[in-house]
Amino acid sequence: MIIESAVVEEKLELARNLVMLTLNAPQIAPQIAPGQFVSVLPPVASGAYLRRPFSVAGAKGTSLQLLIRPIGPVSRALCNTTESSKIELLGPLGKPYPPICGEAWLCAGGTGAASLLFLAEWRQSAGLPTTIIWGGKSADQLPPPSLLPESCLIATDDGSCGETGFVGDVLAAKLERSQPTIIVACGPSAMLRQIKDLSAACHLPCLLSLEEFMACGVGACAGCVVELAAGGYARVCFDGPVFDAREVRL
Amino acid sequence: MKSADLSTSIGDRKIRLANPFIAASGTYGYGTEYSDLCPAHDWGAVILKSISLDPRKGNKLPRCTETKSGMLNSIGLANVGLKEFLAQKLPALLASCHADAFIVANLAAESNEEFIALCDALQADGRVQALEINISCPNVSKGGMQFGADPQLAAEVVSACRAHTTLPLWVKLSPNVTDAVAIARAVVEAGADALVACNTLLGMKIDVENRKPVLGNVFGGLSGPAVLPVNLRIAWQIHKALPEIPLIGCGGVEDADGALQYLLAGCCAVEVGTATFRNPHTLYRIMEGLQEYMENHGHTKLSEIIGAAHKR
Repeated sequence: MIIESAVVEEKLELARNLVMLTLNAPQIAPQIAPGQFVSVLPPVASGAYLRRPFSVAGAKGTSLQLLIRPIGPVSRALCNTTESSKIELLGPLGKPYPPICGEAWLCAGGTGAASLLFLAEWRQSAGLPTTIIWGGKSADQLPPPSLLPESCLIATDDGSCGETGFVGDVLAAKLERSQPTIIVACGPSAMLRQIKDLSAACHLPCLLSLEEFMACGVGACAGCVVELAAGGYARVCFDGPVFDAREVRL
Repeated sequence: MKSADLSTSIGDRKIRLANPFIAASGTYGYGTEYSDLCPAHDWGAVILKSISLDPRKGNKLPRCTETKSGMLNSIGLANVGLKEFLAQKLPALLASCHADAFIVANLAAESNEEFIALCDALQADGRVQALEINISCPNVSKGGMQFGADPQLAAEVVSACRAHTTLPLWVKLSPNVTDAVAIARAVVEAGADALVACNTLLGMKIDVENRKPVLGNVFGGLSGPAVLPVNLRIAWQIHKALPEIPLIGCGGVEDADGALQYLLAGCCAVEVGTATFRNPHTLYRIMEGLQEYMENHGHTKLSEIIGAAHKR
């Protein structure tokens, strides 16, 4: 775990209200793996007090990428940074996705699922069969096609892009035709609940990457917990954010 | 110029801390979580997450949220319980830090009997150097703040603990009372070795879109820079009324200025909590600032400034 002052190398406005920040973080970037996150010190202009967690969308050499939608004070301030701005990161935090062999179907909702882009890239470079199903409320809530592999299946609630319906609906239809070795999902809790139920019904292993409001991000405060099926709670920041779907109650 | 001596003592039991900064309970986990960034031996002392006799799951979700200049939490004393604390958490901490780290356990209980059992166990175990008695948690339905809001109940808890341990007893007071001095006086008479002023302020937040309280527990404890003036005022009042009792300031400290305000108000040490979440290097920033202040004002020892604001 390192505190590092990262420098904005590139800011790409991918779509309306969607920014990809590439940060030079020579200490954290080489250590970070898909599924892990960094915690960002709020820029002064944001007026926010606590750090905010952002899952990492990619890392290469000394750079890492954050996919940001301006929805709160910190994400808005980050979207307003310019090249060579400094952003203080704490990371790598959380446990990465475990090694996954065989065919994986990655189900993503909104832009919070940045970690699945990182996982997909990592798997594809290792030659592992990977399918992405990406969903959003409408076309403008999706990452732009340039970020997604051609084979990516798209679902929108309003039908403005890809199939009409939820990610879980597309997944259910696809599961009737064939089955992967494992399902991995990241997105809003309603989506995760649907996918958890589908994977259980098909007796398929399923990993969920969870999001919660965090205070410390390092496992010290027990603020960002998830209820466990076996009773008690686990810390999303430290014990997760990736959990076996069977182990958690959503 | 030679740097100033920042060591401080807490009371007449000759407890000497290398510096006056103490990691506040609930913000430093079981002491290992921040070991990469701010290890236990760099603090004057570290106070570990509250422990109860049996494990506690804690409150329902959400448990924390941000406010202007601070945060609200209603963790609800989630902890692994005494048995796992002694068997797993404490050994892990001791293996991760230098032998000179000063380790304090924070005790939470719903009855005097439970406090006694915790004191007996930690006294016999011998690995923690002091006990902080939590009679001020705002987030539990039984015990917690109930004890700390009534001088009689507070004194009974402290008397019970006092009879079962020779370890230094620090009592963490609640700011959610009309007369904190009356509680302070009662627990000192009951045998407290030092007082901590104070725990979090009871508060709440409402989500205006869904028109519901944000926290699962509705109420939570406010911490962060917003609370400093309130807890400082209470520390000031307690030091004025009970100048002989060692007093530890707590609430909203994130820089040397905040720490100095508590020291000048009469605190011999200062707890730092929420600020560590924001910047895990807060301790070092405060130490540097304090050292600079001492040099600029020609002080060589911390005792020269403790309580100085009361002098005319």
